[in-house]
Amino acid sequence: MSAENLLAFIILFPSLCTAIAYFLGNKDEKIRNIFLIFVTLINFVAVLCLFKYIKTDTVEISVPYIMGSGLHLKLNSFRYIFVFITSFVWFIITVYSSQYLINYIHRNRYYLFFMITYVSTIGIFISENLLNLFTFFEIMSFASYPLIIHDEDEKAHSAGRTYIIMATAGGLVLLMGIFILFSYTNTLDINELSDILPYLGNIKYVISSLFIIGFGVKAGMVPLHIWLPKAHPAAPTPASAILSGILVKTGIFGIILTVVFMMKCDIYLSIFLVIVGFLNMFTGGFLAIFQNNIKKNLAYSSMSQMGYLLLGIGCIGLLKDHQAIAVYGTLFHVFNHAIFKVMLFMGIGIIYMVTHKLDINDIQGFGRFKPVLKLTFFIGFCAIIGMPGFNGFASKTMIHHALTEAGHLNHSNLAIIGDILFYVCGAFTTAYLFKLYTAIFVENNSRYYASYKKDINSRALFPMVASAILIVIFGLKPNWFLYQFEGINEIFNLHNTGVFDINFYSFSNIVSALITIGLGILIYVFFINKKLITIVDNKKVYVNPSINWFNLEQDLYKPILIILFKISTVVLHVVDNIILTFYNFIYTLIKYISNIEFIEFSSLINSINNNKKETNESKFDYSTLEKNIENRTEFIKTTVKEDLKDARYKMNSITYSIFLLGAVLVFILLAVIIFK
Amino acid sequence: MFDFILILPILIPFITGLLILLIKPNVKKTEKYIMFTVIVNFIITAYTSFIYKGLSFHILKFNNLLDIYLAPDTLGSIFAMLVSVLWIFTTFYSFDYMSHEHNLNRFYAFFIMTLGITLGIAFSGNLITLYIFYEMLTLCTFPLVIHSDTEEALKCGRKYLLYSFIGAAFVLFGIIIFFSQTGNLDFTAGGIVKLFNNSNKNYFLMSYIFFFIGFGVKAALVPFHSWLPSAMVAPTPVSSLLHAVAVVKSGVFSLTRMTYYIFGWKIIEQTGGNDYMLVFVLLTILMGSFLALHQQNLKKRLAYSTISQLGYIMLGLVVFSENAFIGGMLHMLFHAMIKITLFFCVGAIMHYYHKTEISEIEGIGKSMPKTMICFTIASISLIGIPPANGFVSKWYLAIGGLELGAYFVPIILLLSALLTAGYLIPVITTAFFKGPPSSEVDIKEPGNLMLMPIIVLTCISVITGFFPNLLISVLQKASSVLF
Repeated sequence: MSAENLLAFIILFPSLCTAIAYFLGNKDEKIRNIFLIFVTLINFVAVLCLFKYIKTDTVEISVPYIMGSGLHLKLNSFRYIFVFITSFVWFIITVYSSQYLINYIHRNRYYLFFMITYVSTIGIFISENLLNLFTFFEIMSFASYPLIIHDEDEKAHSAGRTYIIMATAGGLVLLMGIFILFSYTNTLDINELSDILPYLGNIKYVISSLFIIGFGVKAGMVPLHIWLPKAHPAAPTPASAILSGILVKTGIFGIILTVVFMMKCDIYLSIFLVIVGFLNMFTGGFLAIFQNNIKKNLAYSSMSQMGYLLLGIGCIGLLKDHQAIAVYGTLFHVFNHAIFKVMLFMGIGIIYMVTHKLDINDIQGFGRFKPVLKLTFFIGFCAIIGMPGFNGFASKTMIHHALTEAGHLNHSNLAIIGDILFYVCGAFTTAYLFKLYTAIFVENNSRYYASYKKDINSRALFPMVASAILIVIFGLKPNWFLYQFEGINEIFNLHNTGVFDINFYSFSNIVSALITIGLGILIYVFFINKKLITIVDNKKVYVNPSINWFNLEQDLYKPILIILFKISTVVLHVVDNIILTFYNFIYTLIKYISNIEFIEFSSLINSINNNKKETNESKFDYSTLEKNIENRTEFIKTTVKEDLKDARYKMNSITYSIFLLGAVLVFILLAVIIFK
Repeated sequence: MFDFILILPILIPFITGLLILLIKPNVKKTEKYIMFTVIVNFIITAYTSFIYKGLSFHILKFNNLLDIYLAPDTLGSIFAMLVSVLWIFTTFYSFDYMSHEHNLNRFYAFFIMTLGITLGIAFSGNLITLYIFYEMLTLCTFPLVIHSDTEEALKCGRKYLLYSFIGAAFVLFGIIIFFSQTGNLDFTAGGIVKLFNNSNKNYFLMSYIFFFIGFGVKAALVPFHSWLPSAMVAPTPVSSLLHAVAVVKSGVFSLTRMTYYIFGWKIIEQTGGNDYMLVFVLLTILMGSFLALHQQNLKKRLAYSTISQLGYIMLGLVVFSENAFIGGMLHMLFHAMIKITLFFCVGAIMHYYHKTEISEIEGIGKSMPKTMICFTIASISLIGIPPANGFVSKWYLAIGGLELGAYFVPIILLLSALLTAGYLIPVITTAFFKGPPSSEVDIKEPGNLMLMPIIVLTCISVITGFFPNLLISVLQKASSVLF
């Protein structure tokens, strides 16, 4: 197969198979599971086959007329990292799901949206046209919604609501950016945009900030992150794993496209990203320390890791001619984070599968005598905290180097603060995961002595072991990864030619990693152990004081939205009823007028005539009339209303309306004659 | 030579309608007549739209003012095709939906006559013809609105009549002023105003505003919209027609004719009338989608949604750029397809499950998955998420607005899209993700006569979303003579 066909294959094949799988699933679920495992595996192999084409070259397809602006797909080594990690993670998660979901209902629906999310995620990473990218982005947002609310309980719906509002709003902000961008540049190809956008004047900042907000919602950027810690615990674990491992990366991918490619590393945006990156690292890490729900803990951890990536992107912009280390560091971390975070999620998924509990207090000591689980989880733990010998160490070291260099380059005093913050955030990572690890795997709990081999089979453990092996390989030989992606040099316009080389296991790197970890353990010993753990009945109980803290969603966004909603409701209800109110006013007025009693003219005449007859006088006699008026009872009194009553009965609605038409015409004519 | 053919699509439904009223056949026969008429009408309309283009026909001509004249151009043909295609779907749908109703002969007679009148609006070649058909449309749809004959229906019917006639009075007045200035009412691309100077500027401004408000009543321009939610008492096929095809779209179509074929946008821009109207239109968009959030009744929710979506279309008529015009017209077509699908789905729920409120439909997606999937796709189109078709029209509208530097246009559009998501996604969520698990629910889909129109219309929406270029090129041809 040629490269173009392969590229089309990796997106068409799974979409076709999604439909087939749905119908298969209605017949037989077992066959569907095996089928989907093979589909994701074949796709993964296809992605692997693509590697030899993209190593130095770019593969592109464009199909005109689809969706108006045409479909333009492109794959190069930068995009390949994302596509590769997506197809790999999806493969292992599909294997894992087939075991995990056994006790769930609506499995077929789950797999349908799981696969749609897969296709659209690959779509995002390979689309070159912004509109295509946006399309896939929106499909992904909407397809992952059913995954989050899969349990259909109140908690899931509440999380889903937050997610869908944020996702839709984020998508629309992004769309606003695309609108403005297109009206200024008349093109949507990312490649062409990079020649136009940086020279646009101040509007480019409007456009790019809209883009960053839109993508930032997905990337869990502070303060747009509120959906993340809610959605993760609510979703089934495989869904949380892909949310955390892959979907947040689409936001990062978008931000890289915006800042690095379209805006050519604009300096202000880079500074902004460095700040937001630190904010994310700090907030995410800090809040993760307090969490007792293990999925929430990992969700905040994802936020903090996204901070590293944002920081890396910011450094790309700040480093100007020496970008290489930041570029490689960021991309490598994208890759690493996906693997270890997915693995950690799978680990706690296994715990949940057995215990159906997520609170750290309930599952204390679960893993003490479960060696495979314990070992794999330990590997993931070491990877995420950046222990030398595991992959997280390599990428974090690179980002750290990039940060230090950026500080040197700009001769800024802030560099020291940045450096300290980097250590602190790294320490947080160690602290919150150490808490998790000790609670689950070190504590002793007689409740969980039993073996759960019958509940956990190899299909759940295989994916974990596979990713653990990858973690160790890339941890020991990080350069091997970097050698594969020389093409990036050209794509990012890097100045160094040839293979980028770095000595990871230098003394200083290892020392700084160990300092970070040591700091983290200090935090654990002196803060978590003292403040967050109380002893009740000889048992450790973890407490979470942060529950009562200021909550961005409950205490800020919601009140603002509710106030806006109430004001708009009142105002728009008035608008809605303005004509009716006006009509009612006129109606009441007329009713009031028409109810004023007056003497009917004919009865007046009659009474006079009667008087005439009675008195037999030819002369009109006022005195009798006055007398009659005094005893008014003799007159027939009437109102306009009663007069109109007959007419009203005679007229049905149609004539009534035509009558009104005439009346309105006369009214308008009069008005015009008067005012003209 | 063949010009008289133009009168057939208008005449045939009339004859069928009168026949049904006079000879009162039984229901099976009535259905056959209706089916026959609708299909013949579709064929003739397609003929005049695609094969014998550029026909024109004077039915009656007293003088320059009273001249009943048919001459469909591209825009008219598009509208006529839309009407006749959607009418076929509605016809089949109503065979099933109306099967338990009373007084079917009256219903079908007026139902088919409305088709003729709507086509009359599409074909009319001057404003006076359009006005006559426009008035007749009100009269003809009235029996459909009050079909249930209840007290409430009569009350709402009266409201509908009142609003429509008062609107028509405004239009008539606009015609009088306009005719006094130009002496001509024929539709000409780019407008027929020859003399425009400071002395008659105010006349044109006044007549424009009268026209806009007058036609705007049918197009549910806020604050003249409140007949539309009330008219929901009608049976669902009628509401879907009122909303998606016949009435509101006639209002919008007349506005298009008035803006681009009578005045011409340059004149309106000089009078500045569109700036005033823009306020109303933006209010329409926002109010419609916001108040839809408050409605618990499904049909009412869709009614308010229609108000806001009509605002999108009218936006294309007050923002004078070619892209905005194309966007508005595209949205007229797309909204028709989407809204009719949504109404059909809601009607199916009402007919088979007797449920009308959102809180009642928990888990209904599990018992009628096909219908609700179509509902979902249509909702996504309405929100304007790519690759569904609603996105395409929104794109053109927004770009058209931005071309003129009007940033509020896309902002309002997107705000409304967010609100649209706000009132439609809960419906979908309630239908699919609440209630008992699907293993405990029996699947009971609507009958084929109901389901097929829903599915086919959804497919059309999806296809036009993926490949909108054909429609766009047709509309570009239509708009190239206007700008």
